[in-house]
Parts: sequence; structure tokens; C-alpha cells
Amino acid sequence: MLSESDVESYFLNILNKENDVSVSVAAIRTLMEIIKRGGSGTVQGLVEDLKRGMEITKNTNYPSAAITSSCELFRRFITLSINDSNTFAQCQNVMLDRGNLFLNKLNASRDKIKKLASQFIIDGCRILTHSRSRVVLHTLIEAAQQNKYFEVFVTMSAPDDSGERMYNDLREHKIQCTLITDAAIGYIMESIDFVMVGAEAVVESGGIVNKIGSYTMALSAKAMNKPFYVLTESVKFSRLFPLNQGDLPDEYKYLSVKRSGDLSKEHPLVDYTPPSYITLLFTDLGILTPSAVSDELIRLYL
Amino acid sequence: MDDKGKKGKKVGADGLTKKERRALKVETEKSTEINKSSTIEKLSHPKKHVIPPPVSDNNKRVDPEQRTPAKSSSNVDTVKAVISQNTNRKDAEKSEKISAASELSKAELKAQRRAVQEAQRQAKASQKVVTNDNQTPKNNIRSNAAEPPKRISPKKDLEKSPTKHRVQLFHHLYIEDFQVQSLKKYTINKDIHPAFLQLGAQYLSRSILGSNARCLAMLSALKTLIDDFQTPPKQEFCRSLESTLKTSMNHLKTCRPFAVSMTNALRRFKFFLTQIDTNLTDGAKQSSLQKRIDKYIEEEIVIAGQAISNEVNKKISDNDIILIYGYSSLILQILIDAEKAGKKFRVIVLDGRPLLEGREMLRRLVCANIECSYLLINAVSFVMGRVTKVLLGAHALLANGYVMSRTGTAQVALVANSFKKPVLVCCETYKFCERVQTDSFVYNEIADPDKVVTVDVSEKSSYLLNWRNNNYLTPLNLMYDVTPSDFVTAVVTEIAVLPCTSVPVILRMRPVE
Amino acid sequence: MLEMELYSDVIKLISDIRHSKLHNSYDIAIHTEKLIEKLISEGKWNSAEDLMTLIKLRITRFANALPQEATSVNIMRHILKIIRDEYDSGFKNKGEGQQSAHHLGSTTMDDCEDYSKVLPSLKSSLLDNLAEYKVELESSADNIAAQALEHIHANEIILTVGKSSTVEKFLKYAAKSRKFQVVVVEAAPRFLGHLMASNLAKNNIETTVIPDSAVFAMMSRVNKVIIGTHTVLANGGLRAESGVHMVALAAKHYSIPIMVLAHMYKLSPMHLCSSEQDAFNICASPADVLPYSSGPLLDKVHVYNPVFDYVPPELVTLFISHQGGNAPSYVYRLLSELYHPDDQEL
Repeated sequence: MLSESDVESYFLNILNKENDVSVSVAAIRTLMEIIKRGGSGTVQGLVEDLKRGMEITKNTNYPSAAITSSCELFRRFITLSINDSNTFAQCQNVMLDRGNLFLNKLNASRDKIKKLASQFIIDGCRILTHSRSRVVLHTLIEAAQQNKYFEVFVTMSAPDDSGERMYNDLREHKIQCTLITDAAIGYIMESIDFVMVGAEAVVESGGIVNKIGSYTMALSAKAMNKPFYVLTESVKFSRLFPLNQGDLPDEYKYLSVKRSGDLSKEHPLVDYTPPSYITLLFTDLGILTPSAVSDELIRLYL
Repeated sequence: MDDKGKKGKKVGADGLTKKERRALKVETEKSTEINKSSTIEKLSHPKKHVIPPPVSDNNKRVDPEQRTPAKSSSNVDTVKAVISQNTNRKDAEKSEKISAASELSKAELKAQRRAVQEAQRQAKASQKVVTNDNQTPKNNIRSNAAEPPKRISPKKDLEKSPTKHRVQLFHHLYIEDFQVQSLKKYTINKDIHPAFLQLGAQYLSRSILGSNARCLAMLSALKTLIDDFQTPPKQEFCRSLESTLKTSMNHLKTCRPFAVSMTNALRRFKFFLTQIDTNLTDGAKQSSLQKRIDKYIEEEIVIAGQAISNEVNKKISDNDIILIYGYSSLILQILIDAEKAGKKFRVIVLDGRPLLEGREMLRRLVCANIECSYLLINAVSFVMGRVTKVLLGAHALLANGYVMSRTGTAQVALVANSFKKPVLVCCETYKFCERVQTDSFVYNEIADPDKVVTVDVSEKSSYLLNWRNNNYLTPLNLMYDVTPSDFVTAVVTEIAVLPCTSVPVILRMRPVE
Repeated sequence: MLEMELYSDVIKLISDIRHSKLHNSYDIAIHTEKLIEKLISEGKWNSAEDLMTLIKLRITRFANALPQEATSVNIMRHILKIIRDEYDSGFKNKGEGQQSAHHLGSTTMDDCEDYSKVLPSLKSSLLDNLAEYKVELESSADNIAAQALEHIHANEIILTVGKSSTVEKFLKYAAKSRKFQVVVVEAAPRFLGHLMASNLAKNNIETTVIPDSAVFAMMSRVNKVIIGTHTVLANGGLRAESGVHMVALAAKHYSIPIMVLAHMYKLSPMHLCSSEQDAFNICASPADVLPYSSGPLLDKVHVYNPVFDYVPPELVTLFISHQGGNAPSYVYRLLSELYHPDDQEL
């Protein structure tokens, strides 16, 4: 039986120790751990534990958009094949098997996306990206390994300056890159070829929720007629449908610690980019137009 | 008898050859003596030639089937001969009862009717269209007598032509009574200076193209006119010059509608005329006018061109890829100047049918050692991604900021706008006009539809060569189109680099005429 | 040599296309269908997998030889889907049959789906299916034309570019009962617009021919733009004749709807990867643009004659296929119905 603090520490442990693990994977592994430890001994109890585990992981100081969607999908996936007639042990094994399957699939999805997206990077192109996204990083590395010559512009992306980490990672792999301030997006837009960003969540409308500043970048790209590509795994698909920026749930926008206080003066962490500004989404389900996302979402969740 | 149409014939002051003058005299004699048939002997080819349709100097609709090989002197005589013959034969009986004058009128009518029938019969027989040279004079006096019969047969075609082979949207632009103006039907008016006649022919055949070129040609013809002008007795220099000018300009307008540059230049010239000091001698007036014309050309065209070139050259940097469309003398000058200044850039020349003016531009650019590429306008989206700037010339700038230019310019500007490339329109201020237009229909020019159909590059000929046989098929050849101001980033004039919306400011600043 | 024998049918098809013996995409479609039919009835194969391998090899061969010609490849892909469906229904394999949440997990398991079991009735059911498909192909143009009256009303001015036999049929069908005018853009340098105009005029449709440069000038009075296309891309964009993009931009400027008549075999799962259009476009002979008579000018100048144009999906209003009209945003769905996802990357 895992206590709440154990869950939390397990989760944070994974994230601290391993560098290249995304938040979704860490959350899923935590949930797997909960299943492994058993707990109350009933299936219902296990499901309850999972739910609570999800809440706990969402309450840490990591952006909860990715966690929410991936955990939700995971939970639905593993509980779908449970039969009431099986014993608890059997159920647990089934859940663990499917869980592992899910995890493997998740790990493989990045490779699929790499293959699809690197076709679009050609020699001599100039790419703009926002903040730090592992998928985008891997794609760019893949393209560099294919001996393509290209240039990358990364935004600093306040307030946590994660863009700088991206810049350093790119430099390690000998990719030509430049760090620009967030305010310089409009200036640089006319000279680049396309924009490539990751996503924390993909919503029902076909839009994305991503680090604050993505919406501005999408607006600017649309005004200058540049393609805006989103690279994301299918675990990030969520059943949300925000109507505008204000309609995003608070738990997406603000860290849990701040949520208790006065939110009107807080800086949000993420913003919503409507589908009309997105050209294509590269996912492990294939290259999708924003209108195809809803179709895929329904298929995923039903 | 020799062909009147040959260039060697002498033409007198009133535009008639000796023979014609004689014939004229004969006719006046005949009108008093109907029964004299001796004139018949003077004619060598009676009834063998179709009565020519005397055309007045207003370019009335001429039925091609009624044109004859140019034996006009004999034809002219033939008309009179026929009339006189008919009157002789048919009305000899009546001559006793009715007076000569009235006989002639009745007889004339009958003769005219007979002449019409004759003409129609001959019309079916004859095939070739007359090539009327500049030197072939048309007798205006003749035309008055024989005009009534000639009007009857052309009517047949008039009834057919208005709706046939005309695009309804541009109905107002088709010239009345004409479908296509061609050099073949060029008419000569003896009252017009040969320089203007020549200019009219050049406009008609489209050998002078481009608004600067046309304006300069007109001004040079004007200078010749001033030089040769002799004030008629008892008339004032300026007034008579103005009236002569008016007839000449009307003639030019019938050849081809005026360009905005020409209209503006003409208006300025008329202003000069009013400003001239009346105390000067004629000679002094002439030289003063000529000087002012030269000054106008120098200021408004030459120096303006240099100023614009300097401005634009500041915007051209090394490694630029500049896109241009068609032919513009100003753009050519700008690019040559930039090349001389040592800038390294490349030019992409886009071209549009059917004029294909871009080829001439290409030739001149290559001679100036500029690296060029050449494409047709359908490939504009293919190249636009690489382009850094678009330079366009203009025929005129309208008061609402819209740019009137060669057909195809609006499209290039549209695509450049969608690719977010800067579009610069270069235009001298003398081409600015107070007219406003929002689309390309209200005011435009329709050119020869056959040019659309002729294909010069491929081995096979066009499928449309027989378009005239099919009533449902019409090729359309527009000369101009209008570019909305939101497609244009900046207009470069000799005064300043302006946004398109500031055109009325310039119009306000120009001297009031 | 063995290879040559193996692919001789595809090689013949490729050479026919190259030598312009097959002009229309319709002709190519019919020939491809015949080729596959022959392969199924006479070829050496036992199981569905063998057959699919044979077809896949032909697809690769064809795509390598003529990368821009998508019609044949699309038809072969569709036939692959027919084979898969027949096989599945033959074995009633997917009892649970959901492509659902299992999607995430299931695709890893069923990635290499086993098609190697021998199904005796496969051949006959395939041939039946193909016969149906052939009828569908042949009647496709007529079906599209039959929708003409829904889209064209009286006294309209319709603009079209170059020559498309589908558009011609469409307009002729509408002309039987409605009176309208057509403006044909001549589409230099191939001048197919001239042929289209003369064909339309023979059917007593009021036609005006304009050169490419006059499109923007005419566009404000046009009511609709109806065009054909060479290929429809996966994002709903078009690979169409050169010059269509500028027509589409002009129509967008005046908010005029653009209708694209496209047969199903023109839908391709391809995406436009780069704005440079390297693998997307081909250039034809520059002599059509600048004739050899220009003399010494020729070696000092670069002349280009691109054949295709990319039209982005936001410029297209409607796709009309034999099944009816669709928005460009729905193309992804049509694609998933036409082709199996595993075949999309061949």
C-alpha cells in the first residue's frame, strides 16, 4: 500500500534522476508502481488508488497538462479489458501487461514521429522552435544525423528559460542554432522557413496547449504565411475543448502551489493555440491535419 | 492607268492628283450639261471596277468587301461616268420636261440606287481588301455625293457585328462600328500633319508601346507641327495652332485611346499656349513653345527617371533577387543604373501573352550584363518563394491609390503579397491622374483578339484559328488592369517614396492647369 | 532479365505514359486496373500476402520511374486495401474489430498482420470486387457531371483553367438545361485552354478565352471557379497545372468559391514536404517559353517551364467526387477509407 508521500517521492525521483524522461512517462511509471504494489486487494480499490495517484502527480510542481491526458488514456487502456470474473491477481497481471505494452508503445512513438518529421527538414532550411520539447530535439538530432544542413532559432521562453537548455542540447549535437528573446519572434519570422514546436496537450478542436508564447508564435507565423508544425505523441490527446484562453482549466495554467492563492496576478504557464493557426500535426498515428485530430481522439477514447 | 496607290504619284496641295482635279472639273461641267457623253471616252475602265466607298476622315465603318484594288482615280471617274451614263440613258426623255437641276436630283437618286446595286454586285465579285497607303488621298468632295448609297450596304454588317464576337462585360469598350482596327483600314485626312499621320499609324499597329514612349513620340510630333506651322492669314497663332492641334489629337484618338501620360502632357502644353506672350513674333512663339516642351520632357521624364532610379537603388542590395513583369523603360533604367553602381543582383523577368514585352526587356538586360531568368506568368508561384523584391512599372496612378498597368501586373502583385514580398511601383508624377477606378472593366482597352489566338512557340497551331466561324467563341485581349493599393508596399516617385494612399497629396501639389 | 519479365506489365505501362500514348489520368487509371486484374487472374500467387508483395513491388517500380504520376500508384494502393478487406471478411478475423483504445496497444501487436493463410475463394471474390471497381472508375466522370445542376445556376459566369475532360463533361451536362457563360484561361505555354474553349463553343456554350495575365482583371465578375486537378494531396491541397495557384489567390481575394472536380484515384497520401518543391514539381522544355529563334539570348538566360503548382487547402472551397461534395478538411477521412495506413508510405 503506497502512501501519498511515497507516490509523490517515487514520481519526483524518476524525474530528478533520469534526464530524458518526459513527465507523462514518469506519471505512467508511477501508476504502474501503484498497480504492482497491489494495495487494497480489490480491483475497485486499485482503480481508486490509481485515481488518487493521478491527483497526486498532478499536484506536484510540474505542468499538469501532459500528466492529465496521459494518465487518463493509460487508465482507460488498462481497465478496459478487465473482466469481473477474473481474480484479483489475474486482473493485476493483465493490467501490468497492458501497462507495459502502453509504455513500450509510448517509447516507440517518438521514433515514429522522428521519421515523419525529419522528411520535412531539407538542406538549407531555417527552423524556429519554442522552449524545450524533447520530441523536437530528437527530430532535429535525427535530421542532423542524416547529414542535413539547417539552422535553428530557439526562443528563451521566460520565465523558466527552458529555451536555453534546448540551445545547449542542440549545441552538443553540433547543430547550428541561435538563441533569441521571446520578443524577437515577429522580427525573425520573415526569414525562417517554418516553425516546429512540441505540445503539452492536443485538444478536441485540433488546437494545442503548449508553453506560454506558442500562441504568439502561431499568430506571427500565420501573418507571415509560414507553416506551423506541431510534433507530439498521441498520449497527449485530451478531451478538452477550450473556447479561448480564459477557458483553459486553472490546473493547466498554474502550478499547484500557486493555485491556492490569488490567480489574477499570476503568470500562466501555458496558452491555447486554435487549430486555424496550425498547419500539420506529426504524431505516431501519422501526419494529421487539425481537422483529423477530433476523429482520432474519438477513436482513442471510445 | 497606273495604280494611284503606288508611292510615286504626285499629290498636289489639295490632296488630289492631276487626274482627279481634272475629273472634278469635269463633274462640275457635267452637272450643267447632262447629255455630254464625251467624258466616257476619257475613262479607260468603265464598269470594270467597283465604285469605291469614299471614306470620310472620321473612320466610318468600311465594309472590306466593298474595297477595291487601288485605282481610285479611274474609279472616281467611273462613279461620275456611271452616274452620267445612267442619267444620260434613262432620263434623256425627261430632260425636255424637267429642268437640269431637278433632273439631276431625281436622276441622281436613281443613279445612286443603281450604283448601290452595282456596288453590291461588284462586292460579291471582289475579294481583296484594299491596302490604302498614306499617299492615297481620299476625296472628301466625292464622299458627300456618294455617301448615301454606301451607307446602305455597310448596314448589313452593322446589324450583325454589335453582338457577334463581343464580350458583353466589355461592350462599352469596343469601338463603334469596328471590331478590330487594323492598319489596312487606315484612313488619311489631308488636314493632318504627316507627322501625326505617321504617329497614328504607329499607335494603331502597336509599334510604339509603353506610356513614356507614346508620350515622347507625341511630343516630338508636336514639336514638328509647331515647326512647320504657318499661321493662316487673318488668324491668331495660338488659336489656329490650338484648332489644328485639336484635329490632330482627334485623329490620334481614333487610332488608339490616349495614355494618361499623353493626356497630362497635352494639358500642360495647352496651358503653355495660354501663357505665351502675345507680343512675340510667330517665330519667337514657336521657339518658346519648343523650348517649353523640351523642358517638360527634361523635367518630367528624364530627370524624374534619374531621381526615381537613385531612390530605388538605395533599396537594392547585394544578392537580391528582383522580380519584374513585362517591359518598363523606367525599370530598365533603374536596373542598368544599379548594375553600373556595382551591385550584384539577379533579375527574374516574367512575361505575359500576347504582347510578350518581357522578351525585349530580357534582351536589353542581358546586353547590360545582368544575370536574368525568364518565365511566363503562370510560373509566378513557382519563383515567388525565392524573390526578395518585386519592381513594377505603371501606366498611371489613380487618385484612390490604385495602379493601372499592363495586364498581369495585378496578378504578380497579388502573388507577391501572399508570399509577403515587398512590391515597389515606380512611376513619375506626371502619370498621376484624378480618375478613380476600382476594377479593370470601367476603363480599359481591347486589343486585337487574333493576337490571343496566334501561338508562336509550339509547332502546332492553336485550335482557335477559326474562332470567327463560331458565334459562341470570343478571344479577349485586354491591355490594362488595375492593382488595388493594398498589394503595393510603396510607390517611388521623383518627389518621395510614398505609400499608395498618398497619391492625392501629390495631385494636390502639382501645378494647377 | 528475370526482373524484366516479372515487371513487364508495369514497364509497358510506364513507357506508354512516357511516350504520351496515355494522355488522361482516366486512361492511365483504366490501364492500371486492367493490369492488376490480369495479375490477379493470371499471376502466380497463392496467398494474399504473395499477391500483395507482387503489387507492392510494382508500386515501388512505378513510383521510382514516374514519381509525379500518382494515379497508377493510388489505384494499386486501393486495390491492396480491397485485398486486405476481402481477406479479413473471408476469415472473419477481427471479431472484436475495434480500432479503438486498443489502437494504442493493438497496432504494436498487429503490425505484421498475417495475410499468409490461403483463402480459396479469394481470387474470385477479388475479381468480382475489381469488376465493381472498374465500373466505378468508368462511371466516375459521369457521376461527377450529374452533380452539375446542383452547383451551376442560370446566368453565371464560370472560370476554368486549361483543359480537363471532367470539367468539360460537367459543363456540357449543365449546359443542356441552364444558360451560362464560361471564361477559359488559355494556360500557356501548353495552350490547352484553346482546345477546351473550342470544345465548349461547339456545344453552344458562350465562351471567352483570356490569356493568363488577364485573370485578376476578369475575376471580379466571375461567379465560380471550376477546375480539375492532377493530384489531391493528403492535407487537402492540390498539385494542379501551373497557373492555378494564382487563379486561386485571385478568387480568394474576391471571395469566389473554387470547386475542384477530382476522381477518387487522384487522392494521394502524399504531403508537400518543402516549399522548394524538389520532388513535387517537374519542368518541361524551356523552348515553349523562349523559342529557339531568340538566338544568342538563350545561353545567357535561365528559362524555366514548371508543369505543376501547389495550391494550399485553404484556397479550395469544395472537392466534388462521384460520391458528392467534400470540404478540403475532410480529405484525411477519404484517404483513410481508400487506403490502408500501412500502404500509405510506399
